Amino acid sequence: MKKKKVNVEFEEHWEVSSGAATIIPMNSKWKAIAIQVSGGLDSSILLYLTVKTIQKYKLKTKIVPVSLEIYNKAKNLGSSRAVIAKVQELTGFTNWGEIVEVIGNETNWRDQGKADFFSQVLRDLFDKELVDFEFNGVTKNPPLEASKDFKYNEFRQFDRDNPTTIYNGRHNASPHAFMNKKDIVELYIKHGVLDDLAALTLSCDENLDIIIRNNWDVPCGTCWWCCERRWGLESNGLVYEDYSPLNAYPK
Amino acid sequence: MLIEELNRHFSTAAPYASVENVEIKKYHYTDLDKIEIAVPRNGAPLGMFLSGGPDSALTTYLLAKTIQEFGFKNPIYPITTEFLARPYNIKYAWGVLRKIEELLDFKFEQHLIFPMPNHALPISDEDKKVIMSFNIQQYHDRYNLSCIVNGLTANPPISEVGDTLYGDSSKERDEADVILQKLKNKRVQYPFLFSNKKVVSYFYNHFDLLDSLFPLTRSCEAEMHETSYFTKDCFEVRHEEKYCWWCRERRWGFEQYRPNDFTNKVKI
Repeated sequence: MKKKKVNVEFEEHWEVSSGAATIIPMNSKWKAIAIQVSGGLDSSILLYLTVKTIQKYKLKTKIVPVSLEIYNKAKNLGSSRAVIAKVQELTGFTNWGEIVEVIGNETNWRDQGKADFFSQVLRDLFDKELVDFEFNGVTKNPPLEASKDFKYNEFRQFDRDNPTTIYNGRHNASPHAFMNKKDIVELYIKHGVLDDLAALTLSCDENLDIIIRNNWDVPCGTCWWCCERRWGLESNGLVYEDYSPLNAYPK
Repeated sequence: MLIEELNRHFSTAAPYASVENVEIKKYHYTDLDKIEIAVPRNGAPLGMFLSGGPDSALTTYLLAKTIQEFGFKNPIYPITTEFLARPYNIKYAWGVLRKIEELLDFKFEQHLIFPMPNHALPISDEDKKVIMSFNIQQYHDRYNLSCIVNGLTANPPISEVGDTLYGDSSKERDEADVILQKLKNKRVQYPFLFSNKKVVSYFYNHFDLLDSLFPLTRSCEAEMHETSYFTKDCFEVRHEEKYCWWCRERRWGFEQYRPNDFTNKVKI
């Protein structure tokens, strides 16, 4: 029923050792899929695996990356641009739609502003019939035992604790919904893109003014998203600092 | 000296004043030398180029302040070009605008933004000028802009700053024909065309902006990977001989007021 409702022909499962999987819905009739590319770990591997799925089934579906610039965040569009370019290079995929970059208002990581703004942008893409479906890189939260000491864990996104479906509506899905950061990192390892792709990504979501005022580096290493990244890497026996974007770009 | 002489004989607001009914405010930094800002009396909208650097930030502040002091209601549309390979202009411009709004209790209009390819892509300077002209024309038409204000300044004496990394865009500021062309442009005001960074820092000090507005600005053009996503500058990440031109110029202008900003913090 659910598949019919969301107009999906099949789902490609990219499994990891925990038994969880990134589930990529697909339909050979879709002309274009929008993918939210933030430049973080989750959306980057989602972009990569979506391309691999399209290539595996020789589909003609275009990918439209959608990235958001938030004024008050240290993170910037440079990360998402680097990720898109690297996925192009690694896969040789050429069927890209026009890359969408939008400038959002100031948001707080606890508020709904970012999600609401993104929804509006995506609605616009659907209204103009530029895309048929949309993916975002939302993942499952780490187990509470692992995240209890993360900064502001009490304000985490609770709907990511126990997801029940990857589908958010008729036209959108969170293919990583059942995968936590440990699983995501394992995907990078399994597909051989840890050094090339993961190291380019930035998870840090700290505010620019806080970074500057405290003379911190970016990534800060202390915000909730940096803690989650650290947990994901270390749970796979990796060293967090080895995959810092500060080390990934040529000097 | 030549620049100061030019400033005494030319009005940077004059070309604009000749075609519109404007009020001109003069801000003196010596008995003889001044910068000028012209505002249309009819309340016509103005565009304001804002890169997030200290020059355009100060110009934006003075433009808003001048409009307020005249008791006019001219809307200001900030315009920011973001260079694709160095995506920081929007963020710093945003911080600058919010601070000016707070300092002056002023409200800017919609922030107009367009991207500009730069050294990461094979594109010529001519191509860039075409992109720039296209976008500016669109903004002129769409928002009925009577003119655009640009915070371009004069170069410091190269001998005092060091010319090892003297950028092409900065060199242009010394060419007489380029300056003349800008003076003739009736759609753009360049209040600081004859004034260098020491004049800019003078006004930051004069208007008590050194600890409020100035720290929110960015001059450095070092790359993202070097500067921790554009949160640090050459003084924190490079050895002195490698400082970019814009950091050298910033230090030359502001070191007298904020010496701690410019000590080299690179661990050897």
